[in-house]
Amino acid sequence: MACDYTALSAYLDGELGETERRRVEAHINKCSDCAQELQSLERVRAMVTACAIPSGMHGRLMLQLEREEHPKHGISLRWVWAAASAIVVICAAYWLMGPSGDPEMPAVAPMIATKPAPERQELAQTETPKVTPPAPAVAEAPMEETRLALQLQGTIKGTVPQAVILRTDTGKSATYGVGQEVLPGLRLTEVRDKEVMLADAGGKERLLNMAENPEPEVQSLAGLWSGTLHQGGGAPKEPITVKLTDVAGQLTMTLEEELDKVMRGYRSGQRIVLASEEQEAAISVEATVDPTFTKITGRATEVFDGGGNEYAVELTRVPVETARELDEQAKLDAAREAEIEAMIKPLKQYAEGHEDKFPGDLNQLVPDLVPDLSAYENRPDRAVKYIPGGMRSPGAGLDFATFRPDLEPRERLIALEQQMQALWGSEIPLRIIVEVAYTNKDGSTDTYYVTNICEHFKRTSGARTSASLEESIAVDRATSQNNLKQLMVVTKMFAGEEKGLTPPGWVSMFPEYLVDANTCTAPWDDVGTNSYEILFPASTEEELEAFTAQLAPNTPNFPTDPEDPAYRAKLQSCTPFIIEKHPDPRNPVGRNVAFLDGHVGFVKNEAWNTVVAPFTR
Amino acid sequence: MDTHPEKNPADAREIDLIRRAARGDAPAFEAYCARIEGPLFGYAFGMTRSPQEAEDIVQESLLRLYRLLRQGGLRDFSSARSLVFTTAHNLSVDHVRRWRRRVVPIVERRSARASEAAEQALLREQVERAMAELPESHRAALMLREFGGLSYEEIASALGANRGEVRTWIYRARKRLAQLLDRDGQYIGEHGHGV
Repeated sequence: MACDYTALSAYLDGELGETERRRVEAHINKCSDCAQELQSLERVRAMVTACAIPSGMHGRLMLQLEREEHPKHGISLRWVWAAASAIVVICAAYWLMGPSGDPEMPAVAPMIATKPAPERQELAQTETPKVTPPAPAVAEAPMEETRLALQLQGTIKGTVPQAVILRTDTGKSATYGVGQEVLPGLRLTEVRDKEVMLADAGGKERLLNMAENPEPEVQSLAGLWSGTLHQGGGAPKEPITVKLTDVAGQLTMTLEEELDKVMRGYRSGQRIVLASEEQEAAISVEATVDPTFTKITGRATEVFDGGGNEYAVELTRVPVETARELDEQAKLDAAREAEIEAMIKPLKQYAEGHEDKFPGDLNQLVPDLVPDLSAYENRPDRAVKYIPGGMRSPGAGLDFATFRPDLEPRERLIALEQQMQALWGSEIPLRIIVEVAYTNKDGSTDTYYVTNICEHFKRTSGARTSASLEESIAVDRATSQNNLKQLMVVTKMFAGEEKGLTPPGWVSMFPEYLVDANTCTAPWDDVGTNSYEILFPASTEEELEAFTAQLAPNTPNFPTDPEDPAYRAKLQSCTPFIIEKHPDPRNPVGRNVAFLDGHVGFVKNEAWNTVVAPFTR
Repeated sequence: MDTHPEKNPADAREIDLIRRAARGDAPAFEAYCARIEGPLFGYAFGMTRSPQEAEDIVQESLLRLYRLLRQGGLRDFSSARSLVFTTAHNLSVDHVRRWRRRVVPIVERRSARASEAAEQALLREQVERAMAELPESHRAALMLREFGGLSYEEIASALGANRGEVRTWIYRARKRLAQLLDRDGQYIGEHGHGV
């Protein structure tokens, strides 16, 4: 065997397989060079390990943990952590923009925001060092900003390295000399051993480095990903879409349609670790990305105060085209909502000054509240209908945060619900005052309603016109299941902030928690109907579980050890929590039910008596 | 496949502590911290050359581990050590990148812990001085191995490299240190052994 010094080092670390280890041992006995080398390596190793530093700082650490366990004392750590993570993000951004870099560190190369440069292509073919800079790139056109990554592939050997091979994220490689413009506005200023300096138009320097071995492709996880969450067994796979940002391996993940849930974490090689920072409904994700950076697989763990769920996560990158479409849709939605917001505001102001009555005619808003009525005008893509004679609903301004602050949360909540019921009865008094119908490019229409509780909500119409009855029933069932899921999210949010207390009803959730009134109405009921019922209003989750636990022994295969995490998960998954008050009249074979762990299932009438009925106390 | 002869006994105890900590046993987590913070500090200090920053990194890494544990987010308790060192590495890299231009020359730095035996402090000073001359990837890999007790596989994952690279880096780091330090651990610099 030839002398392989790296094998000696690995041998010391116990990192060789059985065969290689034997081979090295046999070799050392014969080769004095290697025996000596091994001794020298061993000596160094002993010196380094002798430098491990003992320290007594855990006192300080535990102090901090104690505060985190009891966040009610002192400052809320949530804010501290929110601030801390903001700092991390800022620092990461600084590294990107700032004059820094780091040789040999195996991390992604700096990503440099710049304008696209189609005229780079002829440069990409160049094989030899170029001395004359290429013609200045035309960067004046109002082009969309994109990100280009550069990767240093090699330095050209010579007495003084003066030229380097660079590769852009388009996969094109080219050789550049000092002084040349590498990307529009970015000039190569210095070539060192395995690193180069670049300067932008403002004179800011950036360092680009190369690992000893060629680095893998510069990859970023940034973008939209879609896929499924799966709890295993016969449970349905839940669709999920997330948006990832990736700043030099520091990740943030936003779950689309999941309120403002943000997770932060990092990528290390192909491993991804993410966690949400909220105390309630903590979620963490451990996953890996495939070498082509197109697929993420792993596990997500969701914890509600001790119990929880585990999901298999599978995500694939949303194709750029689709992502762009979604992005455009999001921009369109935001623009529409801003328009509608601008319509509502003067109406609200008017009602406040006129005993809650909305104007009998939009002209009454002019000129005190709006200079003219252009905000309400019809356009080719938009039809606005104002329905006069409405009144701001009494109680619309009440909210949980400010109502009767003298009361304890539970009493306050019950009092608010009673107050709202006294004002509204058990139904949410939805009355439409403005209807805005937008015509989409494909000819379909999205209609937005502004109601007398001064919230607007969206209903997309047109989708169901061509569907058969059967399809229509299936679509409505799915819509209703989605409503239930959203109501569960709202409930969990509420419980997280109010010590596990569950809301007593929906009316008191407006508008602080529940902004879309449509969520309370099953598709087969009339607008404004309160279609869902909470089975255990104003009790805590612990009480619910205790109640379920009494019934548990009757359930086959129920875990028996209360210390077993599966026990609590099982309890939550068989505690029905929100139900549809009535089945779909076109197909009354069962009803959708949301369970305490957040999953929603369709319970057929045959099973109702065993699964749900015991809980309707 | 675990090829760490000396890693296993420590592991069993650590895993047990982590398991208990995950159930909310604070003294167990404290014991775990006491075990791991020395090496962790050594690692963070080696990367950042700043005792204050290293302490913060140790705190933050352990805190993140703790939070993950309490959220039930750590499935495999034996990966705790790797996770906490990976976190420390990422935090250190962030720091190093920010402060690259302001690295204090190693000779001006005072010993991190004044109360230690003078001899060991001296050795540390010498070794650290030599370590500071290593390329960052070599230094990171070596310290993750020696202070963190991480396997090559774990180091590769922490550094986003492959196993072969890690093996080469660790060897080169040791080789370089052997050139920079004499038999007694005295820093002799560039002209010690010629190669």
